[in-house]
Amino acid sequence: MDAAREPPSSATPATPAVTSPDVVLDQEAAFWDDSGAAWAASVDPAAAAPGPPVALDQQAPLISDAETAPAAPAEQPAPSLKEALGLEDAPAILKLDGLTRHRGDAPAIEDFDLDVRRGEIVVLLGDNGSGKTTLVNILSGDDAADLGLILIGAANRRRAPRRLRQGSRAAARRAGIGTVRRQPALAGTLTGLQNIAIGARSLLRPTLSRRALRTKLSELMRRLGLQVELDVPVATLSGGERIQIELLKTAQQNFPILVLDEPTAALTPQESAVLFKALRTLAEAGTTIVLTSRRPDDALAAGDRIVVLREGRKVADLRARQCDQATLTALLAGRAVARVAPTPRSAEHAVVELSLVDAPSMSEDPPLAQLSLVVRAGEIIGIAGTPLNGQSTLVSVLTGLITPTAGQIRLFGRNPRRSDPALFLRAGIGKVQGDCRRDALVPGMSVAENLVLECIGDVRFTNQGLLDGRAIREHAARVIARHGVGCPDLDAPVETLSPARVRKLVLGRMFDSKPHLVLVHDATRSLDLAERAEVHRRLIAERDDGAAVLMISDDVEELLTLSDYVGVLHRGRLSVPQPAGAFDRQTLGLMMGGHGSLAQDWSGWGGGV
Amino acid sequence: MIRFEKRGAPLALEIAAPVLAGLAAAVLTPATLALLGYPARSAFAVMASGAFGSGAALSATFAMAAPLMLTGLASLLSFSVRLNNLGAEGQLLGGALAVILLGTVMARVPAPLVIIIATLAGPLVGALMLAGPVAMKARLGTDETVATLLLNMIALIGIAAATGTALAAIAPTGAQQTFALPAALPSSGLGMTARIAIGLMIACLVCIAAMAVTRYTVTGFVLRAIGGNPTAARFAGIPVDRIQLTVGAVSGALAGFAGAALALGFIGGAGGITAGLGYAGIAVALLAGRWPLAVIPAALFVAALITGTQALSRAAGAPLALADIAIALTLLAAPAAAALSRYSIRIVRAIPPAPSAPPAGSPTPNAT
Repeated sequence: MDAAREPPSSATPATPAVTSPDVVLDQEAAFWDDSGAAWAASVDPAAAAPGPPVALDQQAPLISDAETAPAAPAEQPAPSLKEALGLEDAPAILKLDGLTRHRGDAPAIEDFDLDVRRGEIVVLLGDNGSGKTTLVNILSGDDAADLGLILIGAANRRRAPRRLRQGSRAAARRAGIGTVRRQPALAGTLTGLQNIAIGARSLLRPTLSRRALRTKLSELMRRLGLQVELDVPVATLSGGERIQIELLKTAQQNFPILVLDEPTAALTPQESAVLFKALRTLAEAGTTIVLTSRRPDDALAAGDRIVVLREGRKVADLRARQCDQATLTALLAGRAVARVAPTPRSAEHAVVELSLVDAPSMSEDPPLAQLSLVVRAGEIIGIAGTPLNGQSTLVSVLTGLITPTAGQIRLFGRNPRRSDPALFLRAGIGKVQGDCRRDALVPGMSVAENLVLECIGDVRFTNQGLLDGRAIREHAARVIARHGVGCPDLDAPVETLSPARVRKLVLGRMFDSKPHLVLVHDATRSLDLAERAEVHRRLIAERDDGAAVLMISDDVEELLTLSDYVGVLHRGRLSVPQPAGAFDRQTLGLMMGGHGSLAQDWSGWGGGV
Repeated sequence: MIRFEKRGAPLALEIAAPVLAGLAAAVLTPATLALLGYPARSAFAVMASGAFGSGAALSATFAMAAPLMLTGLASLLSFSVRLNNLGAEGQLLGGALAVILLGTVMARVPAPLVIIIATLAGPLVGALMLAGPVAMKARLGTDETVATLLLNMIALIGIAAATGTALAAIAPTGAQQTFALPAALPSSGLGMTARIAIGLMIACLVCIAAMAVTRYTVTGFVLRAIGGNPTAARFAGIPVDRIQLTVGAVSGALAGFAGAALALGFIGGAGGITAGLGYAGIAVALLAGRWPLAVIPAALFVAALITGTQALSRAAGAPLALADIAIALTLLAAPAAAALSRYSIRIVRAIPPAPSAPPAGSPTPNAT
């Protein structure tokens, strides 16, 4: 009944109240200094008028059903005086009031306000480290703010909103907040249906039959346009399918508010489009949705409203239809980030060759099958793929950590005596692992000690078997200065560093060893836009200096901009690398999802050998 | 609400945690006694005088501390490279068994030669008893925890068979039984006090050497890297399996040496094996944390705890198993304290922001 009386909330102006009168959102206005970032830029629709939004057109093909854009814009009522003053009675279903959470010294979020109306899709758009996940953790009850309130509006508007008890998952669920976390909490050996049933079974009503659940789920899947196999172990599903299971698991519990933390982080563009369509359907049925993203195009495709975060503060609160990608990118970075445009360079001798390599799986990563790859000096090979398609296994093979069970590996045209990381390191294979904390650094040891981890046997750092502490520290200081690690304390235990600094530390260590093969797995994970551009420049510089670069990534943009050739890794099989110009976002996304024609060609070829 | 936040433990806390854990064990042991209905009045005085009160008590404590330092260091070294070695007991008994067998076999060989050969054989047996499970772990992926634990039983049965003692007599029930060495073994001509002093000196020197190696050498760096993150160490080109095997052998050799030296009587004073020294060594290692040097005070403390508890159970007429309870409490308290020291506990009250004249009709914070 309520829904009938309320106008479609997606059509009401997001925050009509103009707290700061003179904000004109164009390119120049995006250069806000930090002091200016404190307020929430609420944009008057009229003010954003210069220049029609263009980016939506670019994104249109991404959404398979273009008609899912917010319904009935024509009925949009003019904001009444009452609404403009923020006095309208339609209360927000979710209201965040002055949330502040400090982590260590730095605030993760600072004085964050947000009103979300029923049926609205709000995208919290922010770069790495902007506080998105902190917000989600507070909403989901995993964390509690140091200051500030969360108010949940009742479905019945006569009832006053309730204050959410923070720091309790149970309280958040009772209040109607369902959360899809960044790391899907699914048991890999159980089927999708079993995973969903874990959450659905009530101890009080253990008789809820599996058949009823299955019926309910297939109805839900039909309605949301999801297609995922429910009866196979979750471990065999792709990232996109896992998110669908996770969404079903949460959505079938009919939470009025859904919170999703970077659901598209590991998805191909096509998988994202399917997810957004499902979210749109849910929102039209009255579910309120808050999701985080760091990609402007995702935010434009998914949201009614886009709230941009930077360094824990809200810097803009915009309606999706009134902004474009360029605006969002500028807001996101807070400054202009020069795009990297490499010039092609002719490749030379092969540094690493893999021919028809089979390798056993590395932790939860699938095994490699019949993988062939040549990386030459002076070229960048991009390996595209959504996470857990064999990337970690490939890194382990190329660094000598695991020995292929079949096939050959050749360094500089010669077979190494055995697969041994020390041998491969000496041959000049430098690496940045995907999960640096897990695979690259030793907790309990200092920054300086971690920087010499790979070369501790070197005579520079030892004196007849004794450690030369001064040489180690000098070396560390030099690496930190030269490679922009920006780490003031050499003696700090490495586990106290932020993820971005960890990544830069490992990148610095690798670049400093002047490797012949630069092997990077998610080189720019956790980095912000400026740092990312810096790493990209560095990779190109390495290539131009004659190093071979193998860049494993799930970032389509990065792959297509930097790579000379791109191959797609899917379930442990690699497509034949093609010149990067042969791809666009769509085809690459399709292949990463395992649908591409090239991938099929290759698997047929591989199977025939 | 109360919030637990992970952080690196500051040095002072890292030292305080095991001290508090040890105190907790010392307090809880008499408390258990009282719970069981035994008179536990003035328990501390009894324990203290049992551990330090007389010359005899002191020498008993110091005599026990030396082998505890060796088994404690052995356990600490294995733990430091992520080997879950629970077999210091078996390696110690194995080392002793080697001495007993050699002493019996070489009855006609000149005594000094027997001593030298036996002193070398003990560590060798201990090293093999740990190297085996570690090699199996690297090659076959078997679990070294179970293998080392079961080897303890095998060594115990071996000792029982070799000495003809009933198995029960030296079973690790807490009864700290000793047995006489075969007559063929030469007893050292030194006095009791001198033997205790020599034993302590050897054990302390070994601990200091171990500390110097881990702190100042490349080997130590590599060990710390493996202990901190074996995967990263492998990626960095460190031969983790080989080093674990080496460290395992050294660790086993230390325990085996402790056994041989005990059997030969040149540490530990009384010239006999007591069961339980290997298990108590695990408690020593857990108290010592990551510093080999800290094994010295930890071993002295555990030795005092054992001798004090023995005195207490004699005074209260309680079973000798009380010493095992004390060790068990230490084993529980030490890791718990270490884990807690890595968290800071904050009591947080969510303070609502100052109400800045909320517009009428908008939700107010105190609405329920």
